[in-house]
Amino acid sequence: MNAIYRLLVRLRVTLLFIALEVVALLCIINSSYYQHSIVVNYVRLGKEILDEKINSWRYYFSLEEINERLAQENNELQNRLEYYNRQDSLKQATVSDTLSRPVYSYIPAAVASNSVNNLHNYITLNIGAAHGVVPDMGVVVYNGLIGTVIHVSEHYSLVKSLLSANWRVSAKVKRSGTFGPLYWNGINYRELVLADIPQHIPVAIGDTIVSSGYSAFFPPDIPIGMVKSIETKRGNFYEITVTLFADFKQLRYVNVVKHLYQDELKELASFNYE
Amino acid sequence: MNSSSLRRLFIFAIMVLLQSFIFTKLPLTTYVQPCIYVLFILLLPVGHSRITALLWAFCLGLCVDLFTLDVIGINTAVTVALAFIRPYLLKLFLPKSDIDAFIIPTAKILGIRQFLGYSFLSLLFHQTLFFFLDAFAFYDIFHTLLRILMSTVCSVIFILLLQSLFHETRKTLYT
Repeated sequence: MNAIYRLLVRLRVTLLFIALEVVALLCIINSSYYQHSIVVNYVRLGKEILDEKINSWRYYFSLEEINERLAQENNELQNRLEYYNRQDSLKQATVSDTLSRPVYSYIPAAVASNSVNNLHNYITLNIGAAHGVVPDMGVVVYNGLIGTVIHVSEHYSLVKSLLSANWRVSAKVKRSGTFGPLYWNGINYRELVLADIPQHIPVAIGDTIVSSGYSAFFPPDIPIGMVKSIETKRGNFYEITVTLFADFKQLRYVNVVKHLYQDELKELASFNYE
Repeated sequence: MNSSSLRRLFIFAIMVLLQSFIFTKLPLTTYVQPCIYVLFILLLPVGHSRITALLWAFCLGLCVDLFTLDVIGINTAVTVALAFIRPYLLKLFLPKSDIDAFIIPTAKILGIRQFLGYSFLSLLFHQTLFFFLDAFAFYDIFHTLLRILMSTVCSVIFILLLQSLFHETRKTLYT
């Protein structure tokens, strides 16, 4: 007995070390995004406020740039509007179709905190459950996809950024409509990889990549980026490097996408084929 | 609670705040993530109780984990590991007579070259563990290695600068 006790005393540093490491590793294993975001919600309330303060200074100094970007966005929207108006005016007769209602609506939000330097990046938005945000909503800007909401508190929501290594969303080549998984390889925050595009599909450097709309997260046809280089990997498929239009480091204002028929979609998807 | 532990708590808080509000937010590339809170561990007194050092490291890592948006536990595991091997690293850079002395291993006391080696080795160990834990199932070893190297160098530079800021007051810091 005495010998065991002495052994324990002699090894106490090592034993404590092992115990602490086990606790830490258990933490890593157990911190799924969900639990993680709950803890973060409690701990970060104060940090949130500080972050917003700091960000508001930074915003003040970049107001000019934001203005410029807003003007550019306005311009883009104006162009799209023009396009639709012109199409309408060519129609011989207008048919008022009561069945086609809008599918998506957008909730504007400002970025409270943001990161691009980790392998898994998160963004905090300044709107939460009180503004109608629920988990699994997509987050977009007019020229890119940003991520999906993974957890909401009353006034904040936590977004898993598209800049999360190996997390996939569906995107397509605008010219041909061929779609494939788009993901970040963790190397450059301005570039994503579009994989699994068959080789017989014509793709050229400079082609536009848009969202496919095959999930309830993101609406279709949001421009994401431009083809930067094309490589052939794993036999018959292209692996395309896409330069993003949106600069994640300069995110200020985003839109949270609300799919108006998400429940209906989910129900349909879980339909049991007997 | 005496004044020396109050001082240590103060530095602890400064390290956590600096790391989570400034250094993780620096507009750098994905390759460079300066990690300065390690300075707290580096500057624990040489003859310090290893048990207390481990516990300090655990708290430090946990605080940094909670304040930065990452998987909780990574910084904790890595920092505890660093605190565990720190005495062995110190042996490489300290004269034998000083191993058990209650001195603080600053650049002034160790000499700049020794301190550089000491902090570089510590940071290299720290960053290596950190990035492999962070990447876990991540396949691209070349980029991980590049990240480790660049982050280590960057952190060492910042740590040198920071500890020279504390240079004058440091002598009485933990005594």
